[in-house]
Amino acid sequence: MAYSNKMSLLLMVFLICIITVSQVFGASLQGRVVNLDTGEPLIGANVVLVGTKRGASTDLDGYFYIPNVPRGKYELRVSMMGYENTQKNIIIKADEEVGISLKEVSLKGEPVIITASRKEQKLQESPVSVTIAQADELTVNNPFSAEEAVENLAGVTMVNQQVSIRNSSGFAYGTGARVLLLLDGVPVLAGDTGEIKWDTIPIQQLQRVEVVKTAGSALYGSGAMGGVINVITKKPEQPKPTYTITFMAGAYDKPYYKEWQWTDDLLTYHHIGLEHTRKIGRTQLMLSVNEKMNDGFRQANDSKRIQSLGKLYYEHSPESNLTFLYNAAYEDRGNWFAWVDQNHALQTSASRRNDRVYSSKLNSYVKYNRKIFDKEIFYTLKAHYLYGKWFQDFRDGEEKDYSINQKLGMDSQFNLYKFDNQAISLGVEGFYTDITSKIFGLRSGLGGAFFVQDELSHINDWLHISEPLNDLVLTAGGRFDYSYVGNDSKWWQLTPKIGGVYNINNNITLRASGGLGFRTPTMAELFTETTILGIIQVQPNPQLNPEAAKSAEIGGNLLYKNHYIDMALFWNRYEDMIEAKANEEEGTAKFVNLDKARIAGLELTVKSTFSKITTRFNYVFTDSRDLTTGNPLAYRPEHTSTINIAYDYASFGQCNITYHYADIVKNVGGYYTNDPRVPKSVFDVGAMFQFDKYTINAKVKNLFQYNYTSIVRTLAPIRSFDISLTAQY
Amino acid sequence: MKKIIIIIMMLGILVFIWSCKIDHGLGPIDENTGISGTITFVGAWPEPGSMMILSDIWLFGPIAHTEVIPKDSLNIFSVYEIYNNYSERFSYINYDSLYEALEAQGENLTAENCTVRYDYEVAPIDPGTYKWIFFIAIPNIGLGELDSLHYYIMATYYDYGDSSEPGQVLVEDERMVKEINMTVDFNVFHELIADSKNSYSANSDYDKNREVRDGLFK
Repeated sequence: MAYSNKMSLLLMVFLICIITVSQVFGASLQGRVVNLDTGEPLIGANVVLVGTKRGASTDLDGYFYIPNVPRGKYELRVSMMGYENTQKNIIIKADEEVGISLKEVSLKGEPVIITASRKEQKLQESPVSVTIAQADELTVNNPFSAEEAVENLAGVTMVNQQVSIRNSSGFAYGTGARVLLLLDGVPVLAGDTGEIKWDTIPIQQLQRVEVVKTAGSALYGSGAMGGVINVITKKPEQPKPTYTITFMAGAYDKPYYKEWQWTDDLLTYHHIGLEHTRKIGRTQLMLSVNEKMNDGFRQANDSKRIQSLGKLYYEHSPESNLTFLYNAAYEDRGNWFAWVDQNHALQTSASRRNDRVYSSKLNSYVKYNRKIFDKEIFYTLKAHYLYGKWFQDFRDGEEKDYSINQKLGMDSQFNLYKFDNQAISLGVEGFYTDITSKIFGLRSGLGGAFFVQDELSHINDWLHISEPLNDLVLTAGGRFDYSYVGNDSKWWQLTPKIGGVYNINNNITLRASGGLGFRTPTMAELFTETTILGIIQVQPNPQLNPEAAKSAEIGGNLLYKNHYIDMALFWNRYEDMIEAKANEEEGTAKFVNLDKARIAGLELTVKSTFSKITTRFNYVFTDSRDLTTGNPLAYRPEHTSTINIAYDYASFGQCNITYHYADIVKNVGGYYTNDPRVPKSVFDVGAMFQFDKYTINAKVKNLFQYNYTSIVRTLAPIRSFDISLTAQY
Repeated sequence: MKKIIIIIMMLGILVFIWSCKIDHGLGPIDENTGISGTITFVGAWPEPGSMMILSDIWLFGPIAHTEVIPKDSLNIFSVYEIYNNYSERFSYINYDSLYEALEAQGENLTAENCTVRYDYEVAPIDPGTYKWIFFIAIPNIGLGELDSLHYYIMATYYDYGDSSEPGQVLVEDERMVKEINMTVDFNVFHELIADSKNSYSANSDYDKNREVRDGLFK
């Protein structure tokens, strides 16, 4: 489509959004939130009308104001860090005024997480570092894809779609992730490459994301040695049938340098999503369909995606429930590999411009939860199935690369709360993988595991002593894994862990943890045999050993009123670390074991709220090194940082600016090592408005047109503008 | 106090952004300062040896007095005039040699629908804004009369298809500006070239060249 036509279309979208927003009317709700004990006004408390997207934050004097509220009955929820949540039923007939008092509490009760210990626990009781992000935080940046949403989380970096937590992974085209991705607690790493298929992750259907930043092998096995990301989808809770429509449209700016402009067309992207939830008796249902199209800012980098998610929740009784989920995705995309040269940084080789990759994915699970024996035992049974198929349509005359993989898994877990001061989790897992592939061969694999963990609290009672250990929580556990890969390789591994959390007082918590981790090589790392661009010969290495790691972390956090500081020191010592090794002179690449490697560093997170301004700062320093050669590990920046400043205005909107920094990668893995590289230094700005049932997000990404490479010879996204409208009926 | 903190924070953000000096990170790598692009020759080529020498690109600017070159300037110049005042660079391409080389590559240069692309690069040149970039042809009348040769403007660079006036090109130091493309339509020049064989007078050619020029700038 011509540039002008697409621009006209975008203008129409803006106009539609503005017209939609203007259809707002109703009464208003205002009031004041104060400290129950002292009567002092509370600044920055969140006031929300439950079931709507309407809300406000209190100002310097504790007042809030929510305009244009349709008349009716509402449940008002008021929350603030350091205070007990309060809910109140109100009826809005005309302009209303309410007074709210919040009780100051110990903050260790908020929020609840489920990933760090495979059970529900308070965030402050976790012996390992955890980042949690609610749906609002994930979508306020108007992400086009799930990886964009996750990339902004503290401690998480993304190297061309390969996710890494505290530099645990480098870059190997997604292969062999050291971060385990869970969807509602169910693993969704691809059976062949062990990579994360981000196009299957729904953004609009997310409830929250939990990131566990230390080795999770002791609970989750192979693949989790660098951490765990648990993507938790919404539970369909709306009592009435609800339709949610999302429309997003955006466009890339012209590149900063005229030489890089490779088309006169306006390059655009869009997302159209439809979600329906309803309750039928005891059954709650959510169905969604999302279509995404992206011209791509680079040549041969366009994509079309269709994704659908369905979730059914059946509550048989207060003690038992059943959940079924399917998530299917199809993608047709260009196959960008590398630029022609730095003077044509957005163009790829003419011989590769028509290469395409087509892929289909399905993941599904059934989960049964039951509380038994007077609710002292919580039992979960899960079965999941993953299917993935892709083929690469090379230029004429070349045989297509393809892979079809299937993975079936089951796990059963008991959480026992029967004993005083103890919470015991134990379970068994099993999986089977089958692969038919041109580049990996015909392969199958299977594995099984048993895990147990005991959490001790109120140590004083347990040891029959008095102060001061009453606020100490100790955790110990381990996991035994056995796996078999279709080349007659059999591996077993025992991975113990230990951890502790000590609450010095209501504001300060200290934590420490240590353990072993491991990862078995994926089929792709073992058996890949192909040629890239006709010049890089990827060789198999069936002799690869599993990698193992010793990990330790100490940290603590301080929570005082609206200010939160968390700091952690971490240390990981790897043996037989699996890394991609390329030899430019020979034109070869393969995965090899590094004898000894170390990834150590510190992470600092600060979150503060001053009146209507909220600041978030995250900094990670890592020293990642091959201890045999002394060289830095590939694609691990030493310093990464994110700064976000958000301003809540007029009780119905927010604007924010985010700065992302990562210093120059010292090692790029063997190819194109002499190419110039620069740090990542990118600003994003955005604004969000909420009116009645409508939410509008607008965003400018890479505001100052900063150009850097995410991997060698691949330019990161240039400046883009987008706007989205979400409406709920 | 809180307002002061907010103001300080906002100022801090502004200072931080300013301190970044809007760095744009990676950019094109250019060893030379100059321009490059493609000249597309359309139509049947004149016979070899008949009358032409092709010249490489001629640049006008960035020296200040070139700004006075108007849209309706003569497209016939004295060699000395060009040397002394306007030209940044020019060089000759032997027409016969080029013709033979192209034929050897299998090009049918006598075909009316013949299209040949010629990639050029002009470097090094002084950085600055170039007001007028064009490609010329020279009648083959003998080098002894260089000062009275007729220089026909066969193609001019226009910015984004705007043919109302020549496109201006900003050449920055150590930057190669690419995609300065032009098209030479031989069909326009055949009659002019034929006439030039019989007349070497600048005055007699003036009107014909003016017609060509008007065609170029219309």
